[in-house]
Amino acid sequence: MIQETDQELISRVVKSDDRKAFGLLVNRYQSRVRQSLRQWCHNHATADDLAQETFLKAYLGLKNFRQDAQLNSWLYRIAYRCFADFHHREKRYTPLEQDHESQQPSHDPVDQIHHQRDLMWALRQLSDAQQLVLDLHLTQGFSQTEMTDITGLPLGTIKTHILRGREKLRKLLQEAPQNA
Amino acid sequence: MPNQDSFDQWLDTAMKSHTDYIDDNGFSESVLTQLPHRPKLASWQQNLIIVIGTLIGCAFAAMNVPTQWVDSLLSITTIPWATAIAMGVGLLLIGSAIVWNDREHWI
Repeated sequence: MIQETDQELISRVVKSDDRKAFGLLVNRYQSRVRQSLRQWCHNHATADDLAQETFLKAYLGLKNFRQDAQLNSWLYRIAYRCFADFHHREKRYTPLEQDHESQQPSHDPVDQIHHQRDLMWALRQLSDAQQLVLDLHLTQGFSQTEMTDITGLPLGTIKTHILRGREKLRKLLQEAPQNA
Repeated sequence: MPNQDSFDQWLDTAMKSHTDYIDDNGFSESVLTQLPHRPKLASWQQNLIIVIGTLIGCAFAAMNVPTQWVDSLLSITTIPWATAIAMGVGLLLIGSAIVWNDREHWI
């Protein structure tokens, strides 16, 4: 079965309010968007709420979506705004709660550094901005230019976050065996 | 610990593989149930209908106002340009309300 392209699904939604087509788009992108929001929020329930908000806003704004643009970056721009608004609302009152205890580094003597648990633990030690930028860049594969479009941050700031984030991860993972 | 280059390579690979696919598990369905119903008319058509309706309503009201009310109003309003400004502000408020009403379509 031939899978319809994003553009075909979008035009079905815009022209005839085809909700089934929109459902296919949500299904296609939900995993990536929810993954990133979970990474940024550290809370699955909040992340899923923000992901729902993202797709609702996308539905309302789909008629203004430029056909030549990348749906993925556009969705991420909305997701980032939802997250930033949430962060702005909540941060000053209650710290972002965490689903999991901060995971400790692996005790596995064979490969303590190259372990996903260590990486997850180390990622959580980074600042919110560094985590977000590294997720967009390394996990989701956005270019630095696309990231300026998504987050509205200057290119220099993004480069700095990537550089410092990488450096901090490196140090944390080096220190991981001592922390264990 | 490997050197900088190999660490960067390792990090690139590890970051790409550290997240698993999240099953939909009804997420898409839940989004679809929350979608608002799209109005059958475009927003500019709705706004036009509101403006035309407002103007017709005003005209109808003006035609049915007793003449003695108009006389007393004119006797109160001794400054014509103040009346014009008040009407302009009124129209501006109506316009702003229409734009504000349409805000859910902003992204």
